[in-house]
Amino acid sequence: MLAKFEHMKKYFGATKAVDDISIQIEEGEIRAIVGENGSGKSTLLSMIAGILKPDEGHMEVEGKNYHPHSQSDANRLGVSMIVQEINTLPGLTVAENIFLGRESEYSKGFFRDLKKLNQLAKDKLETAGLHSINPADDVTRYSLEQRKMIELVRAADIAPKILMVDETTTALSQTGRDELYKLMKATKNRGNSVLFISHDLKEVLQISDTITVMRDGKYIDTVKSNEMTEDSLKRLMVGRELSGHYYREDYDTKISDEVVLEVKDLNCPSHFKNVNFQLHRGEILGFGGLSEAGMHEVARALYGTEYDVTGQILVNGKAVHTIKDRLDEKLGYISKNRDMESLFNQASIRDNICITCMEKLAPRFLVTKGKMTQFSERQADILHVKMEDVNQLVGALSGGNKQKVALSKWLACDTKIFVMDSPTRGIDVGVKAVIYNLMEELKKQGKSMIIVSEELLELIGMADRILIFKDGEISGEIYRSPDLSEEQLVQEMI
Amino acid sequence: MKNKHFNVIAFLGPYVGLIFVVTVLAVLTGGDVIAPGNIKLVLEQSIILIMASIGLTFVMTMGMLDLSVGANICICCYVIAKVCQINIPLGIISGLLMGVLVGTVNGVLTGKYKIMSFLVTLCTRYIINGLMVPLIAEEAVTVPFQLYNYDTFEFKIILLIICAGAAGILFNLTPFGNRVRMIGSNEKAAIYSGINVIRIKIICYALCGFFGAIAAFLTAVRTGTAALNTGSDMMFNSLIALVMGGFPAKGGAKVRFSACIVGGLVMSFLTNGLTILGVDANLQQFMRGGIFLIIIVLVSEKNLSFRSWIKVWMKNNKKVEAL
Amino acid sequence: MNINSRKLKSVLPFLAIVLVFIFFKILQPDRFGTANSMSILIQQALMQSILGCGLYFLNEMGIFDMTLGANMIISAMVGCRLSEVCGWPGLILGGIVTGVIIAIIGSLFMTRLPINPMIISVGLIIIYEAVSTMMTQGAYALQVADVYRAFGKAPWNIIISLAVLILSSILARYTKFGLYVNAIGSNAGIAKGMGINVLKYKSYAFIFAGACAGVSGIVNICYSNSMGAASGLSSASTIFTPLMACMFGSAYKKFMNPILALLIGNLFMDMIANGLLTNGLESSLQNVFIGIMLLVLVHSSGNARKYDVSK
Repeated sequence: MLAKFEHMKKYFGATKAVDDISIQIEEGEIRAIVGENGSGKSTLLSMIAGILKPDEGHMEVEGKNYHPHSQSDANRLGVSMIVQEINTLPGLTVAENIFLGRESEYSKGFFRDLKKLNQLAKDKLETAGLHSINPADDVTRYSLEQRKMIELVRAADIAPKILMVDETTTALSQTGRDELYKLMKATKNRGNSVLFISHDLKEVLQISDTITVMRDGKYIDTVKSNEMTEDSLKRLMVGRELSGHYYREDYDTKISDEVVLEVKDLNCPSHFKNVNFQLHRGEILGFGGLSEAGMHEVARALYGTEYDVTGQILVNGKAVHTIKDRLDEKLGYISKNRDMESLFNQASIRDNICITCMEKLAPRFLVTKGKMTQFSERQADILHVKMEDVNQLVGALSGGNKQKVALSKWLACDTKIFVMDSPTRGIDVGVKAVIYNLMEELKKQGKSMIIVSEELLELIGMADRILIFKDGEISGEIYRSPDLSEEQLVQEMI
Repeated sequence: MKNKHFNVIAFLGPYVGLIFVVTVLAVLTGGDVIAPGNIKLVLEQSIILIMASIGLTFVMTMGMLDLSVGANICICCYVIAKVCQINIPLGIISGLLMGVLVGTVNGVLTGKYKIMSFLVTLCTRYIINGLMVPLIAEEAVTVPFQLYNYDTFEFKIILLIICAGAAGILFNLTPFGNRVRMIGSNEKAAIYSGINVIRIKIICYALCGFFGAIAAFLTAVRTGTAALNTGSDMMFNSLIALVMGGFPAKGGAKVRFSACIVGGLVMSFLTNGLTILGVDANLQQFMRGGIFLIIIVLVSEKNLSFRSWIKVWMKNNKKVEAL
Repeated sequence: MNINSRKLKSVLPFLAIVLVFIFFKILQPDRFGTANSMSILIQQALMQSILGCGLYFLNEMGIFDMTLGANMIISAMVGCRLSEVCGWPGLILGGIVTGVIIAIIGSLFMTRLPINPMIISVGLIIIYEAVSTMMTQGAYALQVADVYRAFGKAPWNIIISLAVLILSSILARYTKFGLYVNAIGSNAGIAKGMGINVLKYKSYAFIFAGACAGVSGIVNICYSNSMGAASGLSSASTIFTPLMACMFGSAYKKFMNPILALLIGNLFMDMIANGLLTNGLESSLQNVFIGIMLLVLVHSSGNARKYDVSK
């Protein structure tokens, strides 16, 4: 046995991202970890890689206690991770990136030997078959995929005991993937182990020896790959009964023909392309897909905060350009990044709720604190925000209550079209139910909503129509139906 | 009003500081500081400082800086002195316009062109100084005698009450003031809430320039000249005054407008008292700088305790030693 | 980008200097570009580059230390005072050690407290400028003894400046320190993940900057014979020209050693300033020119976009 990780726990507020998971890794094993979005795979790997600190748990590598303080600490102890995001440093050359943190390998005393550095890097790149990359060039001259390959070369060169790969394949073409598989095989042949996350089940079955299935932060099972099929694996991943019934239960409600939002040929380099859709009055439209599929960026573009967007967005038939135009047409946006973009954590609940409708509160230029307090108390009551009073700082609230405040902010100014990015992310079940109820209520009032979510069940339960995003394009459109299953959606996504 | 989240220390701190400073100085000077004549003098001296601080309040609430306050006072003073020789009302108006212009330029450069505010205002300060040298290098420009009529305590105190009142209303009771505070609290969220951040930044800097110009007017009627060193100490003093008034270094929702007035008074009493005690001007500046840093460090930490700061420092130090 | 355009880009700065020279030479054939004025100009550019070198490493990591100007002034004054007591060692060691100590004080505040470093800088400058005035003891400026003046004249000032420049260019290009400074400036988060001790290298950069400020202070006080006290933030403006040179360095670091680019940047700006002077522009109006140049440079070198936050 190479390593064991026991009773690993990581909570984010009320959310149990990883809930008491224990796994063991054998020498020379390629282990895939599968599960839906939000099942805690990445969190688990991040803890092993030293990026996150576990709340509880015991880790051992080669029989020795292993508790890394940081990523570099983990590297030193023989554990390294290739993350989803690009992890090379622009402004440094390819060779410098490959050898960053290991300067002693090519330095003569105090001085760096650039010739030796470039020669060493060239050799490494050649062995990996990357003949077109010049080690002395700045990494920014290469595409994102090539930069990912440079990271692979770096990882291969460190030769870690445990190599972890987090959903990297989505960013790679076939040749890139082959190179990654080669690296994984080489690690295995050295007698070391690989842990990897992928949504591509075909790939998982092909590459891995064993598969660990996770669901909602919990350990489900570890199975041998050669005993599994794609279908049986999917059943393990998804197989749960619908817990509770806080979703909508109506299925045949007629949607109005009135188009409130129309998007024509929306493009944004490196995020999404050719996005076209219409949103109707009283409709709940879901955006589903993998996190890097471009749906979050489309939502930002709808609100006008994404850069380099071309194409047309018509709200109530009027083309909108600035954020002000959108507010005039009563379009509101709830950001995925609640603490940074939605809320003023160092300000009171009163100030947070009133910020969008100051004009309404101050018809003759002046507004008193009392008036704002009254108004915000009324608004906070609608969603039952749990607070002492409206003077309380938003930063002191729980995640769910913060989200309620963020929603109140837009409800207060009479918003007609809501764009909600991951509205229930990191929120406990109780508040989720409140938010779903609110969505139903708003729908009845004839308000329209776009819900961007990585939780497929939520989309199936709430949306009238789901647009599936894949690689920055809309790859499918699915209408509300009681027989809709997660597998159907996953099929479209990958 | 019932308010559980009321921070008593943050609220009373500056007032206690004011009383403390006045008491200590009164004891040290044997009561000279609190003699009625002296109090009137201190108040008179504090008016210009408070005026400049009012403008700075708006800028600093957004978490930005204005280092051109002094230079702005200098150029406005020059304009007022020069144009008043032709026509007095015109001179005052053009001085105020000059202040607004300087402020607007600052605001546009930092708000619209996204250059860091301290660099913009440091550059405008540098540029204005460069312009002023050839203009008043040989001798200071004197203001016409008629302007001295404004140099009465009653006029100045009424002007201050009007200005501070108007600014206080703007800051506390209008949507604009609320937005300024929210920008300081979280600029990103302010953008996402539909606040026109660029416009508000420009207006705040323009206001800062405007109040700077009023301070310049008061300086002109008081000193009667516009020289190169006019207002040169105002930049530091207004900044220190705000901090002494309990202004949080990051700005934001917790800023209270009274900071500029209380702070201005503390500063004036301190300057006056130390001068009576015969403390050298440089030593005074040194002490003010020290107090400034100490308050900044104390106030910036969450629970206002010195221990927590030491803790943070120790923790960071340990990290260094470990590696 | 092909090889040719790379070569062109690395020649461009040299070309710019030559063009500026020719431009002013044509305008003022008699007054501009005389051997004497050029030698002074080169000496000035070299001496400004000393502070520029110190600023460069901090600047690359996104730290702008405004106190460096005040640091230079105080270091020069301490060196000068000590030279009266213990001669050459007092001048040189006193200056450099003071510079380092002041920089360390600054780094303790700026890198380890969750407060806007700008506000801290202003607070420190208030104190430093008061100290600088106290050190002149009422006089307008502090003067060094004539013995030491040679130190600030050619060839000594040139030798010292070149030594600092060469040391910095080796540091920037051929040591771990320079590499890590680049990495931290590029993305501190990733750099930390790769095992770089960000705080440590930031502190090193502060110490180096302090040493540079010390050397620069000594050379300057010896060159101009005296060092005046600073007040009202005037010390912060002394680093404007080095700061601009730093930006040249950063912009051209892909094509040549950044320190060489920094020196060229300094030469370039001094030449323009000198050219304007010979064409009758008053020296104080040069400040206006420098201020505007700096704003334009900062704006064009930054890539802040519409919804980015800048304070």
